Amino acid sequence: MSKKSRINRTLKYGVIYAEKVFSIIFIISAIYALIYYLQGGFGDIISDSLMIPFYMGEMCLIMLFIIQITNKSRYIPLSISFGSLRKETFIGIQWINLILIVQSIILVGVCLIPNQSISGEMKSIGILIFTLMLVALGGIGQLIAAVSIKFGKLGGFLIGGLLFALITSAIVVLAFAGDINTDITIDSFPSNIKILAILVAVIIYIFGSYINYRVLKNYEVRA
Amino acid sequence: MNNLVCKDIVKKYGKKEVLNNVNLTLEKGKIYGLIGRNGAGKTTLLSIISAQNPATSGTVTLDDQQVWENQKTLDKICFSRELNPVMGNGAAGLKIKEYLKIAAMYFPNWDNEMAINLVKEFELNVKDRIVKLSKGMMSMVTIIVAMASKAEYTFLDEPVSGLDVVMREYFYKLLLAEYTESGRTFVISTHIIEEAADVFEEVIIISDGKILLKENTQELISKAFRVSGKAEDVDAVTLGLRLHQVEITGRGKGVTVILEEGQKIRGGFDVSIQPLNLQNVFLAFCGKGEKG
Repeated sequence: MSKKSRINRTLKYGVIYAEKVFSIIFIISAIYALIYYLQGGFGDIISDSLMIPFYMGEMCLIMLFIIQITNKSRYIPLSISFGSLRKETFIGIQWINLILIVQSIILVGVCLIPNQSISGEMKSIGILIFTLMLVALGGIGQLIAAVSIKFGKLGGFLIGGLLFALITSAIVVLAFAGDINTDITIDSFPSNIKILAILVAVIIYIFGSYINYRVLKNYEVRA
Repeated sequence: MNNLVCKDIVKKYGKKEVLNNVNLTLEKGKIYGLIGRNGAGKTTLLSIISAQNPATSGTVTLDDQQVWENQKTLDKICFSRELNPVMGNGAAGLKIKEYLKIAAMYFPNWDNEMAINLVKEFELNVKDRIVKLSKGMMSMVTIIVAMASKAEYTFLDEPVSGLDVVMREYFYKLLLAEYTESGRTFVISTHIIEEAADVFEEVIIISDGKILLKENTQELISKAFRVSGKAEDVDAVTLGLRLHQVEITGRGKGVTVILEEGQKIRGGFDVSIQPLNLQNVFLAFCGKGEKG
């Protein structure tokens, strides 16, 4: 029998949990891309080379959002019922998010390399927008999870409505971002807008995390 | 002395008071039976003692240290909750091996060898998902977690529900063997009172969110009797005693008495005095019509 460091165990489970989600992202995206290529693609090599990172990015966004909601029914109650502190569990959630966000950026970045070698430019603005969307969705997801924990069924209805609105707007934004990716370089975007967008995303994340922490502080494991 | 102490615990859900000023001390190295009717507050009490749920007011301490959000004390406690295929503690979608693997990550003194042995003894397939297990098999998983956690204070919520008689017997033997070897403290909440009575060193009876009694099981049984006979004779021998489970049939009467210190059943009348088992003692306190 060995003594285990306290934060280590929440982290360990968090990492395993995040990696499991990430492998799902990878598999679903690969299947999407395969179907796309089997159907013949766009027939334009530059556009075709953007489809894999697009699908990967789309799946990463969806999964990062969903995991915030599933944390409520899996990660949080399990951690606390196995003797973890609420504070430790909250930190675990932030680790899961950090791992998913960093891995998503790396994955999409790597998938953009073929496009870069063909078109001669890295889609930096696309990666920036993608990163900000990941960060903002992480915050929104935590906020919705917190509302759902606090208000139960009412929270569930709220989640349903917000999910619908978010998915609809995400599709529009993603389609728009796809257009931008092919034509615009990061230099063409004013830096003050970039800073503002980063600030907004970070504030959304911090706000969502804060509300989540407030709710977690008195979380009850239900039978 | 390593005692787990609950002081003035109140738990409210909205206006409903589930626990009402509970004061309880759990001494180290004992097996406690926590018994009460459905909705009496057993699971809520165990949830609060193990800091899985917050109390509305009151404190829980172990060795004079707060249990709530204190890793040092929480490391000594395991409350293996009853698994539920619908909600549960987030375990429903997991395979048994995943659930045990996660438990192993969290409990600082986890005994993996014991967990593996118990999986074999219970003939569980670790690849099965918890949501697909029978009620008995879910109980087995909670027993494995409780035993392998090696926590100083281990709480089990209805561990034998759904288990067949062979497995129940195995569980009691396992519990006693572990208790003898480790001196851990166990609190077992159960509805199957009679067959567990021999295992409990002390019994805690909870009703309507209040602790009615916490006493050595054998001492409690030794002072509980069923007195029956002619109504006037029964009234005469039990004069001044607190009566439970009063039944009148024609001219006859039957009552249950639990003698307090210094009390005795009077002699000189033709009445039948029968000793009671734990289940009947429980009925005396919590049966229909009884209000503690």
